[in-house]
Amino acid sequence: MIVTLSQMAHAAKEALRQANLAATTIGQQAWPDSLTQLGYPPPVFTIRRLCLSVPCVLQAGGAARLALTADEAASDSCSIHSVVVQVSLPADNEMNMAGSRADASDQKP
Amino acid sequence: MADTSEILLHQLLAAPLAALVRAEAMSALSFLDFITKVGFVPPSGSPAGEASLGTLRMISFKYQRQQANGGQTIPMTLELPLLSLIPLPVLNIKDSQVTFGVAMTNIRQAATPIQSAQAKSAALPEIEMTVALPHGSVAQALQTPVMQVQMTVARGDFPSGIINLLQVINTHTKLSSP
Repeated sequence: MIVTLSQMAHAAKEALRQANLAATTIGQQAWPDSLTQLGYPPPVFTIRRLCLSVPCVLQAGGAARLALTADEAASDSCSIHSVVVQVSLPADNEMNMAGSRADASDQKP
Repeated sequence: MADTSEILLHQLLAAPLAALVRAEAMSALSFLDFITKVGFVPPSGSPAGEASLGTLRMISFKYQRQQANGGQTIPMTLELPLLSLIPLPVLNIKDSQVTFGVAMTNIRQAATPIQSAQAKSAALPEIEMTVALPHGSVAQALQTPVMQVQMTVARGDFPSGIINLLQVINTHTKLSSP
């Protein structure tokens, strides 16, 4: 399946958001009622930052490594903090872009 | 071919958080066990269905106190709860860093768009990633499975039930003379 950079970024954000949502539900279920009655409320752990490093095969040939950092911005939303793409194109590629790197960061919703 | 143990990425991310909650529950239960064993004399028999810690374990010591007029000394006994002398080990996980090395097994179109706004728009379809913890051929491809966990544990705040207990304990210190 061919995917775009924006689709990958969106998938990372959604994975972070859904993981935090699921963890809250699972955590409340796993917490013993006896502790709640004694004044221990269930703790809530939240993933604040998710860093993914994904190897990719480029449609135009060559390979890339995509580093995505997603932040938990609020209880129901996440934002991409930074995207770094390191591209390695074949030696015979006319563009000769081996080792290209592009950064984008701090894009809050 | 997809790995049979593949799971969605968010499920893998949520698993350590659930484990942290379970670890905290075990820690809290251990703390209660400590309080029960150290601070209380077990009940000889409590009515069915009624949870009872028993009787507050007290300790006492004797000393001589000189009377206010500087005259004779009188023997005194101070009795206080044992729990008031012991630092209580209330421990909480403050933060945790988890690092996985996982095999990305598939990227596919999400079965149901999560964002309703996106579902209505003409935007590109959402995708979701499936991953697997490396083993067998996948492990060979990645050379070695990696899972690093770093956890910071610190003493936490007293829960409200323990604060109530401590208040009761403070009122149980007794000074007496024969």
